[in-house]
This record gives sequence, C-alpha cells and structure tokens, in this order.
Amino acid sequence: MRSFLIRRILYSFAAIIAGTVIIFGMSRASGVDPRYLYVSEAGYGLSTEQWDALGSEMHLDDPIYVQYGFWAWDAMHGDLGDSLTAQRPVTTILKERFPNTLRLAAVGWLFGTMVGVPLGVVSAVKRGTIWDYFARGFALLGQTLPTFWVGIMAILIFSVQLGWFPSGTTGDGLGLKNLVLPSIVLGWLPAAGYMRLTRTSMLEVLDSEYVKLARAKGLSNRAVIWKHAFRNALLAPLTFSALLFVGFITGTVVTETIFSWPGVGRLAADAVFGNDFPILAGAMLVFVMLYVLVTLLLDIVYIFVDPRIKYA
Amino acid sequence: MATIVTGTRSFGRSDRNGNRWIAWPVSAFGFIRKYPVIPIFILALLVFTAVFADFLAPADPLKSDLYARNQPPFLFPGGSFDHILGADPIGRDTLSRIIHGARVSAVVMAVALAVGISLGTAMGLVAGYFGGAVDEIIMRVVDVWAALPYIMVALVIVVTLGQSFLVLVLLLALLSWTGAVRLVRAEVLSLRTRDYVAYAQSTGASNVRILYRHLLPGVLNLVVVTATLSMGSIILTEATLSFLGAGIPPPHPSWGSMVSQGRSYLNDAWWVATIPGICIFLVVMAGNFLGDWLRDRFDPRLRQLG
Repeated sequence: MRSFLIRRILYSFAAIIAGTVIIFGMSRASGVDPRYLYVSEAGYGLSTEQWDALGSEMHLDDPIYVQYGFWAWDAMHGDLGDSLTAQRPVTTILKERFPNTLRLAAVGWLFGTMVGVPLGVVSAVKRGTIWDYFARGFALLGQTLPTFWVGIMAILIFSVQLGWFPSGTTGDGLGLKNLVLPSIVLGWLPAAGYMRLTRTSMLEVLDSEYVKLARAKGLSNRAVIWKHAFRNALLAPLTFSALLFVGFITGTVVTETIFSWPGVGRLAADAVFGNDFPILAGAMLVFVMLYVLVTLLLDIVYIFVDPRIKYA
Repeated sequence: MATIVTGTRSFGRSDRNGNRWIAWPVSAFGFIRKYPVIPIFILALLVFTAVFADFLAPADPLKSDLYARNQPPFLFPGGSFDHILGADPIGRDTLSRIIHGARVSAVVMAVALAVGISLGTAMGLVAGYFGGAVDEIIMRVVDVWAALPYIMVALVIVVTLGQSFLVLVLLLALLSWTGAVRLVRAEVLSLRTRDYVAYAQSTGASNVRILYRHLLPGVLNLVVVTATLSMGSIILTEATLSFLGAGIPPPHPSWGSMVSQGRSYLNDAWWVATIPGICIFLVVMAGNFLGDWLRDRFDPRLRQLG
C-alpha cells in the first residue's frame, strides 16, 4: 500500500507538471512575442527600455527550459504575474475568489451525492416502477441537458418568473437562499452520474448469492438493502468519482458564469473575453491542483472503504 | 412507420441456428422501442440540415431585420410566420440561425470525431500490440492528459492561439482520443494472443500489415461504439466552449453562442436562449441512445460502465 501511495502521489505531481508545461508552452509557442501576453495594450505606454526590461525579467534570451525553470520557480513562490485587466497580482485575486468557488463546489457536490446515490438505490430496488423511471429520467436529463442552458432556464423560471430565489449575487452571511439554484444546477451532472453508477452496481449486488442468503435468513427488507447490499454497491460509484469530478470542474466554470458567482471559474471565463492570459494560467493551476487533490483523497478513502483492496 | 404488422408472425432471415436476427415487432410502438428509430431520425435530420442549410434557411442568419426585433415565435402573441421561431433583439431570424448552427455542430462533430477516434485507435493498436516501453509511454500520456481539467486547458489554448475553427476542432479531437486508446488497447491485448496473429507473424507479415489487416477489423465494432458514444460529449463541449466565448468565432451562429447571447435578453426574448438549448439536448440524447443501443448489440461486456 505504501508503494501505491508513493506512485499515486508521483502521478499527482506529473499531472501538475503537465499542467504547468501546457501553460508555459502555450505562452511561448503561440507564435507571438510572449511579452504581449503579459502586457495589456501592446506597445502602448511602454518605452523601449521597459519592453527590454520585461524581456530580461522573463529571461527571453535564455534557452526555453531555463525560461521554464524560472517561470515555475516564480509560480511556486506565488508569483504568477499581474492581471492585465485588473492590474493586480494574480495570486491576490485568486485568494479572494477561491473561497467562493469552494463554497459553491462543496454544496454542489454534496447535492450530487445526497441526491444521486439514494436515487440510484431506490431505482434499483424498485426496478421497473414509476420510481425507477423517474430516477432514470432525472439521470438522462442531467447528462444530456447542457449545464449552461439549465442554469439559464432556472434563472428564467425560478428567479425571473416566480421570484423564489435570488440570482446574480452571493447574498449576505451564508447566503443559503442564493446557493440553492447554482448548487442544484452544478450538482445535477454528478447526481446523474452517481445515480446511474449506483443503480448498475446495486442491481448487480441485489442479484448476488449472499443477498439471497440474507433474504432466506428472513432478514427484513431494510436490513438486506441498506446493511448488506448498499455497502458493497457503494464501491463502484466511488471508483468513478474522479471521472465525475472532471465534468464537475467544467460545470463550476459554467455555473459561476451564469449565476455571476464571484469564483475562480467565472474569473477564468471573464479572462477569455479579456484575453487575460496570466489570470487564466492561475485559474487553470488552481483547478489542476483541486482536481489532483480531490482524486488523491478519493483514492485514499477507497482503501479504507474497501478493505479487500491490497495495492501492490 | 411502414412496419405495422398484426399478429405474432415474424419476418426476417434466419441464420443457420434458426435465430431470427431481424424479427419484425408487432407494432409501431414495439418497433420504436426495439430499434433506435428516433435517434437515427434526429441525427439524419441534423446531417440533412447541415448539408442543405443554404436552401432550408428562410433568411440570412447574419442579416438583421430591424422591424422584427424581439419578435416571438409564431404561436405566441405578436409572432408571425415571417419568423417562425421568432427573432433576436437585433432582428436575426432564430430558425435560420438554428439551421446554420446545425451545420457548425455537424461539421465540428464529424471532423473532431474522425481525427480524435483515428488517433486514439492508432495509439491503442500500437500500445496494445507492441507492449513494453511503447505501451508504458502511451498509457502514461493518456493518464496525465485525462487528469487535466479539460475545459481549462481548452480556454488557455484558445486565448493564446486565438479563436478559430481549426483550433476548436483540434481541441475537441483531443477530448475524445483517450477513451478510444484505453478501450482499443484492452481489446488488442487479448486479440494479439490469438492463434491467427501468431500465424500471420510466422508467415512473415509485417507489423503494419498485422495491425491493419488482422487487428484493426477486430476492434472496429468497439471503435464505432466509442465514436457514437463520444458524439454527445463533443456536441456538449463544443456548445460549452462557444457559450464561454471560446468556440466558433462570431458572428457565425453556433448553438452554444446563441444560448450565450440569449442569456442577456432573458426578460425580453426568452426564445433566443431556449430553442438552441433544446436542439443541443435532442442531438446529445440521440447520440447517447444510439451509442447505448450499438453497444448492447455489439458488445454487451461494455455495459458495466452503465
């Protein structure tokens, strides 16, 4: 297990390094002088000396791998440059925005699991009934409706027409009312994924010999389902959690944009319109690290949940 | 449907075991349940619309008719048959934009799938057949690529290289290749131990010939299923990128960017954002249903991913 953990952590580093190589590579391989990516109005208001100073600051005369070394060193020390549109350090902006993203993502993910997993169990246990069709319809819509469209429709119906929930603000304090719409929109995709995975694995487990034995022993239906079947059926959804999380990050960017949620995702989307490369690079790093951290945690949780697993 | 057959008599050719592979169901409803009629119809409609967009569109998708600003679809008060699905706040005909957007979606999907799936299949074949260091390198690249938040990579690349059709298609191709590599490689790992591969090797067939003539046909079913199942995610991602302003450059109509523009006019013109979203939904659903059906027919083992 220790070697598994070491390999797993090495992977995480590889993913982070790949992320930085892509960011750095794109900044240097885009066919234009990389200085343009870090200057808002190219040439405007900059003297030749300042332009040259910027070049030496970015070590443009050195070989490319030396440039990468300097860039990575700065990035590790929290220096990702200044935002072109806001004229403030990227790290400061990210620090302001990140708690908002974390709040929304946590609630959204919670909604996804809390709705998706029980729905999967119900749909497997009551297979072929109206509950099953409802749950499958819920999952089908969650996976085929575009998140951005669902968000817009939610605002149109529940904010504009019915006026039940506010949108476009984070609200004061906890802002629970403001969290409802974005977290449902964000959590629908993972909920759909969890529902389908739980349903498949639950159906498989319910068909197994030991569940039949438990029933033959005369255990109550509830004990059979929740104590015997459910615990084993939970492993499959857990295995695929990392896959669901990739889609979840896309969902975060989209949902924050639609609900004007001041998080890292919306920052990234705004940076696309403003051609703000330093911000985008910073936001990407944040998401890469978030993804790597979450998948690593999931893998470790998996070891504890399934004691049969022995990693070589 | 022309296949409304009464009674239980079933038609179709029987194979040598007497199994009827094409047994006509007894009713139109049964036929629709058994075969993916609706998904094929939707996808065929998409292709048809894409090919004949110029003839089908009632108006120029880029031309604004200022008298028709914010005109609702024809069933709603104030709507007319001049603009069946209404017009947006600068008076562009929604239906025409949807039709031309279908062309964008279809072309992007076809090219991205062709590039991505061929690349993935080739890599999977090579990794599975040669094994060893080649396999190791390819699979590690796949692992690391799959561990990056795709949407952020796409945004970074679009901002540095600029918005263009080529960039978008390549990005979407990069979305679908990893899945194909994994599945094809797993299949080749088992196929290459078969006797016929050993025979081919002993007769002196080159590696390229073995890969192309002996292994590729064996994974073709799998490739078709993977490609069909990827259609949905490619359309969704294209729409999402267009929504975020990183897809097809404006003013060309794309369903994703139409939703994005319509978002600003929700109060005045809800149809601008609503209708393209429904189109995306229908196409994604058609792709997923057809893919599921093909998978169940070709390779029931894949069902476990459920």
